[in-house]
Amino acid sequence: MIFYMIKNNIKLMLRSPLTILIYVLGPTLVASILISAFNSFMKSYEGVDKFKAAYRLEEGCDFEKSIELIKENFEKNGITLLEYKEGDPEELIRKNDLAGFVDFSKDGYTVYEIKDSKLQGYILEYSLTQAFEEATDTAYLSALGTPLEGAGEESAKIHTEHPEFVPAIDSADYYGIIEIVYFASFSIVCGAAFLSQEKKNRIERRFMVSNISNTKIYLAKLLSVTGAVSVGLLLSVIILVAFSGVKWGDPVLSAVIILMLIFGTLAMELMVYSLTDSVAATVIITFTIIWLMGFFGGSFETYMFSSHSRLLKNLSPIYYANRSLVELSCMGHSDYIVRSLGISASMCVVFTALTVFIGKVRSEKA
Amino acid sequence: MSTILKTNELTKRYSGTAVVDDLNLEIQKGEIFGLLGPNGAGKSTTMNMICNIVKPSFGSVEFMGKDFRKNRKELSRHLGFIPQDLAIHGNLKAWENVELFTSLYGIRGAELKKRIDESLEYVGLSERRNDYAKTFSGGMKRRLNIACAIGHHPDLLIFDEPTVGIDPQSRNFILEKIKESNRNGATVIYTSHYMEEVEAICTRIAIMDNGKLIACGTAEELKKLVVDDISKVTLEEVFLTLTGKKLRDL
Ligand SMILES: Nc1ncnc2c1ncn2[C@@H]1O[C@H](COP(=O)(O)OP(=O)(O)OP(=O)(O)O)[C@@H](O)[C@H]1O
Ligand SMILES: [Mg+2]
Repeated sequence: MIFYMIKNNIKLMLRSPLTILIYVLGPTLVASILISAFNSFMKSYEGVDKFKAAYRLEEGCDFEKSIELIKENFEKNGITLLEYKEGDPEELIRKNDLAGFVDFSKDGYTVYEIKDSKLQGYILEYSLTQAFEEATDTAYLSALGTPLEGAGEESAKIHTEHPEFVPAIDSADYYGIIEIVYFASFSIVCGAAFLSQEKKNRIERRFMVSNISNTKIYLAKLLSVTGAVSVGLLLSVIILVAFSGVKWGDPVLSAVIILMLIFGTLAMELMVYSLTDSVAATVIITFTIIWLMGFFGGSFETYMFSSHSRLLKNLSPIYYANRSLVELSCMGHSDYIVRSLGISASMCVVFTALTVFIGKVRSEKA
Repeated sequence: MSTILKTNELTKRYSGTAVVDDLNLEIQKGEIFGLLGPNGAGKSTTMNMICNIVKPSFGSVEFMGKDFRKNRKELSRHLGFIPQDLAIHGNLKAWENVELFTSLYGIRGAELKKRIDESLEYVGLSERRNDYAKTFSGGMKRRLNIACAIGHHPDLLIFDEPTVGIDPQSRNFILEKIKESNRNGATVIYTSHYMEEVEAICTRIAIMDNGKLIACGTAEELKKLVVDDISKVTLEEVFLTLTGKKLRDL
């Protein structure tokens, strides 16, 4: 009966002070720090309404064909693009109260923006990167009046997909949500509390004598760690909701997304454990993996303004969970829910199969 | 009497060196079988192979008439193993330890509760059932280690040095319990290097050295190997004569 195994594993985890510290205080503290640090930044973003920017198009340049699409896409992000055929960009910006100016030429494009409306410039640049992402890998960040180099000929293949929608969300909601996701992905730390004790006391001998199957032992680990981590994170969520006013869009759906993410990432972490057979090595290896996933998935900066390439984001399961939860919170719906659940579930299935397989090979050898 | 356990040419090699070498033991149902040997003789390795914790390099174990490795599912529940080094969770209470390890045999619910009470009562830990194992003294931990292995009522109990490092009272208590289990029908294999203990409780004794079986029989039979008048010799002298006086685990 793995019920008793799960029960006692959970007891062992909840009796470890480290677990309590990490899972109840960890997300609360990290989120609180980030919330206050980025409060003003996110607030000012919230205040940004529609704004105007201008462009000039050199005759015969590659951008001519796609300018209508670019304009349409910008419109969706709240930017109205007006065309000015003549005049000095800096002067035009000042005279016409523009947030920025894009000069499309045969050699590439140049962005002019005002220092005062940094955020608008940010959104403008963001929308442009989104539009050109696959066409050119060239960074084009420019301060006022610095002309851009190197956009070059590649820009002929202009990417005309819709720029990503940037939802308006405040920092409390954003960080209050994504830190929970980050800590949920690293549940093996919680499991380490009893795994290391099991190792130290060589408890596996009793399992071997009793001939309980490896699959049952594995399932007990998976379910008990998920259970203990869920309890810890729930407390964390309650604290964050009570003290920082974090809003979760759809509590039930959000819980399911996080639960599935725990299963998926934990299955990966337990597979690393079954390979290395060392708690310390497992924690170090999986910490690196999860940190990278979090780094690209927006756990340390807002994924909305993230400058990481789309490919890296797409590789991070955390990105999908972050995005679906944040969008649920600020928009009430998200196109990423199914993808997030699907990826977590596949991870769980694939890594569980691998772990069971490794266990079989091991026990035949031992 | 029928044979309950038999090892056939049981051998374990670690990087080429045989630590258990071609061991043939036959344990009869209902006996208390003592396994003696100096440190490093291969006693624990033998027990671990019998209990499926260590895979033999060669040979097999026959348990209740069947190849144990091939019939583990069916036969494991007839075996109880008390390992030499404690296998208990310090951060679990006494009763929780017994619950966890007894449940591995599919026992649950009210029956499991009954077995927990019974096992703790058996080793005299009922009063301390709600205390964490890490707060226990060495002797209490040893007793808990036993309680964790008997809840499923095994037919064969294997004790690997259960009395190491504990006071005479606790030792006496454990020995009495082993005899009691035996009276209640369990066959016992008992390893130790305390001669008096083995002589006091075992019906037959095997002496191992360097992974090999060097003698096997009742205490009298073993003494007769050394001298004619068995009243003039202790088992310890027999042991030293047979295994030599050199230190083993250098
Ligand atoms: N995993 C292992 N790898 C290599 N050598 C081992 C291993 N386990 C045991 N040995 C060696 O096998 C020999 C027998 O060890 P074992 O523990 O079986 O002896 P023992 O008779 O139980 O000794 P003790 O009375 O000290 O408990 C020792 O020399 C030991 O060093
Ligand atoms: Mg030993």
